[in-house]
Amino acid sequence: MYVYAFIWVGVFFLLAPLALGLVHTLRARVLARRGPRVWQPYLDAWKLLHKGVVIPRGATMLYVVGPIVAFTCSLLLGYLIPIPLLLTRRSLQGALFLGADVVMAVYLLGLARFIMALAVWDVGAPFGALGSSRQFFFQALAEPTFLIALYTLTTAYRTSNILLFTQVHRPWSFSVALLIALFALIIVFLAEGGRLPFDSPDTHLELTMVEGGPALSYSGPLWLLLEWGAAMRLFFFLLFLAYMTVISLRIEGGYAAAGALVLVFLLFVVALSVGETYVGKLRLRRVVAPFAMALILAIISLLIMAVLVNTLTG
Amino acid sequence: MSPRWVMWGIGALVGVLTLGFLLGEWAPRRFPSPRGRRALSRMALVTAALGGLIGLGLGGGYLATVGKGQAFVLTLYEPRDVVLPRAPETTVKLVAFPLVLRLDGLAALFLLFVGFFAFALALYSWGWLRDDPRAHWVAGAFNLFVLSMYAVILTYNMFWLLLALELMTLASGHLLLYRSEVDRGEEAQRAGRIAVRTYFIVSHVSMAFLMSGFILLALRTGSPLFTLTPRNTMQDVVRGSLMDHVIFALLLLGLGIRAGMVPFHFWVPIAHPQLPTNTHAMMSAVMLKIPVYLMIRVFVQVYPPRAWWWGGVLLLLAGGTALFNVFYALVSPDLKRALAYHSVENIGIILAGVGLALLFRYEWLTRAYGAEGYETFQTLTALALVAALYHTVNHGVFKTLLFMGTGNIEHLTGTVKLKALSGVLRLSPWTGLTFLVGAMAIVGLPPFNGFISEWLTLQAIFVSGEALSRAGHFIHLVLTVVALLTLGGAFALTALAFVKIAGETLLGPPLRVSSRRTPWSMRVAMGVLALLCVLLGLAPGVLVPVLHRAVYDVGVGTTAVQATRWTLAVSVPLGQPRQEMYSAALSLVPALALILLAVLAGGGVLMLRWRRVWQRGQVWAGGERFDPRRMRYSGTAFSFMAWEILARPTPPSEIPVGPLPEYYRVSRRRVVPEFFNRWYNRLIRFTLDMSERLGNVFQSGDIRLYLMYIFVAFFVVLLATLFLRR
Repeated sequence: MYVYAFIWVGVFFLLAPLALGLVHTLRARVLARRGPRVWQPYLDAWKLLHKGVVIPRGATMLYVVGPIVAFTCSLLLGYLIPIPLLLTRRSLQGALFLGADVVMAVYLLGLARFIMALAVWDVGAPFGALGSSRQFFFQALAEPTFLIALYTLTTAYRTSNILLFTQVHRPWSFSVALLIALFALIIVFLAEGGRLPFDSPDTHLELTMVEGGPALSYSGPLWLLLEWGAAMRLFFFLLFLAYMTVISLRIEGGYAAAGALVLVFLLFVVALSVGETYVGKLRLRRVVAPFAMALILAIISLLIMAVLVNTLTG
Repeated sequence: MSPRWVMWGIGALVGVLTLGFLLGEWAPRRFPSPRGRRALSRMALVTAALGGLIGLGLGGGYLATVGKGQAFVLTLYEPRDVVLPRAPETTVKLVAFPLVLRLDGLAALFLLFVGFFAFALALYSWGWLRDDPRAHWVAGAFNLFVLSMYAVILTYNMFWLLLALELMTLASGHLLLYRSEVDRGEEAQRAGRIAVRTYFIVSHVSMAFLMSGFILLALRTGSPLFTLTPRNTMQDVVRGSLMDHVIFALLLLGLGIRAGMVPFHFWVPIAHPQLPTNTHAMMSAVMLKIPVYLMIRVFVQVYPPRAWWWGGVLLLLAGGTALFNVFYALVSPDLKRALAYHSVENIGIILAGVGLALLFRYEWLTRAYGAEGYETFQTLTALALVAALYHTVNHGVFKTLLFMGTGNIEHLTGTVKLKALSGVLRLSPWTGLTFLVGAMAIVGLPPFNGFISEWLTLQAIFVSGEALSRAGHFIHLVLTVVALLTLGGAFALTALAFVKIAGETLLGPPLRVSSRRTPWSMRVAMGVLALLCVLLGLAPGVLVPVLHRAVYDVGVGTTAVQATRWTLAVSVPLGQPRQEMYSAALSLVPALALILLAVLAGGGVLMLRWRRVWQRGQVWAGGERFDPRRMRYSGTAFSFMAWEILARPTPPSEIPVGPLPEYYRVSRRRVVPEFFNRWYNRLIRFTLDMSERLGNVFQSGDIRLYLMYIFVAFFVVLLATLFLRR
């Protein structure tokens, strides 16, 4: 089973920029532009791979280590959502010990952020540190919500291991609480993935950058690692939300689930592209409002879940 | 291991550490020459290391050879009944004073804990104290400090426990004078005085609460020993009386003050930075855990919760402790103070585990007679305790490592002011890298050890979702949500705080060029602890059986955590109707893959370097010419988004209202107020004013007044004897 999981990580790695390309193309189409081709991120990657690396004077090894570790973290996010295993109908022997734990996602994202913050601090240029300090501000607001939403999911499925989510059969009423929790997670993921309204992903103004700030100091293959990592993160968020939506609607296993997964995934891609053309970036202090909304939603979903569990069993 | 061996071990501990204390503190008066003092200080360090090793041997030997639930009870002194000479028929039983030592799983775990750090810090001090003219004094007091902690852990009698706690206060308080001895400046003298006063007042207030709490507890249970007596059985546990709640409040206050729980955390960042580094590490990483040990001993084993809100109160206070302290760590001006705040923050995380354990313990007790969910809550109690104890050990490891790093940094640069530090990673790569490992461990990032204990704590909360919902206790559920909220915020802010600390101190160009080198013993000690951070993160199976043993010996006889070589799994039975389970697992495979891939990718990038596509270039700063002195990002700016919420303009007058700092200066114009210290300053002011006023009335110096006091006292005693006779 480990073999399947690692093969999937390879597929995840290869497919990730496609999602980003889809979003870019669709957004351009919504704005009545032709936009880049869907596979443009791959071409960009090829180009970056052949560029040289400029290392700023005064930077230590952390400058190189940072993107490598951050990239690896993003890659391992793929391990946390092994789609082919999730869609098999068989009950998985020893699936628990694959360790695809959703709590890991919080910590992998944290590790990437931490190491990148140190790497850009090491460079010394202020823009990178400016961006990563904002990332930490978002994280401080998002992490409680993230954990409480996960609390709802774990209460619903009696595990934090994503492979076991479909092993528990819950009544339809649970979907209500789950979907509310998913809505809170969408807001958290928008912030974590550096999308609007929290961060404008294609801004060119350094002073407003959040996600882009750390990438400013990088060039060539190292920059490629950061870009590809960001693409994998976005892919993970979309896949996770799509998968959770599908199983919240109790479509479990087999071709039906696979089809539904692809559909919901595309739906999220479209929603993201269209949504980003309608929403503007929020002022930095204003982001507290959506985070507060997400937090309240997460708490509500948990309370509903608690009542449902109580009525089911007690 | 037989009781005889334990006796020998304890005797050796007392002997060796007392010898070390005398060598360091008393003998230098006989041999005042610098060489004599130096030799004595070395000897005292050797005894401290020996004391640590004996503690390790005692704890490890016990755990390795003695089965579950078999504790060694050694009665060293049993006072005889006193027969009053005038009235031979009355004998007075001195029930409170038998000196009983007890070694069980929990005590053995803490013996290992104290022993290991005593050894590691003695090794570190070998280099750190090399050129210090006060080395003998520091080393001697360190011996006594270690001995007092052993005494607290082993003592099984409330009276002797209080004595041991007092010894601990004195042994460590003695060293609070260290900084003001080193630096004779006005500011340092003032800080030293305040630290000593604060520490002693706080310890004694805590002692007062503990004394009254323990006396009432002994009366309630009928024994001064920490045992379950017939008057303290499980049947009367479920319904608590008012007296029970009073005892809980007193003991919680007493232990909470010592552990630095909100709102009593103020003393830690004031007192701790005044200590020499080795004792500072011992105090922050180990001594603050002693109250945690006592809480588990008392509230889980001996005197289980009588009401659901016992655990609830502890849980809320723990969450508050974590959140407040991490915030103030963010605005602390120097490294030692910031780390002291972080110590208390981690105490908050540990206490959250203990609070959850109390919450579940109560649920478990109330379900003891046939109700569903008995097993669930028993397992949950075990899970929460294992999480708390795991974090206790982890915090010891990485906090000691960070303090050692701070000691190195001070040794190299002569300062711990964050604004004055830069580029330690260049100055001393070994210090820088190990400090970085410690920082990543305390933030809780995989694959380091902090991650495991944070994951376990989160799992304890996650499982309680279904368990508490089934029980229909929604208030408890809301409590866990609040705990999760505060802990989540604290985790995120810890990451921010440590990026700030590591960025400010380690990165950038070295500001001070030092010719000093780090001695080998300091390097070795730090290397060992950094390795341990990785080991406990990758192989939790090393520690989990020991923790299970400790949890078993406090009366929670189930296991919730299974650790094999590759995985760490949590499984909790949820009871009826179909034997449902909560299960979750971590696997080492992704962590290893993470490291492997990082190495491979790093190798790949280095290959590129081989192909000469690398070049050094200017730092890109938006087209401007980069000027590192003017344009480097500062830690204050980095944490701006967090502290700005509470910042306010500098108050016009700089005259302090009381001894505690009321503000932390974050920029030239702005400060962040420390609310708690303000209240404490008011309180101190009020106490001083009141005592002055009352003193003027009652202590006017008029002899007639004093005669009247004597008369009144005499009269009261007379009346009392008259009435009490009947």
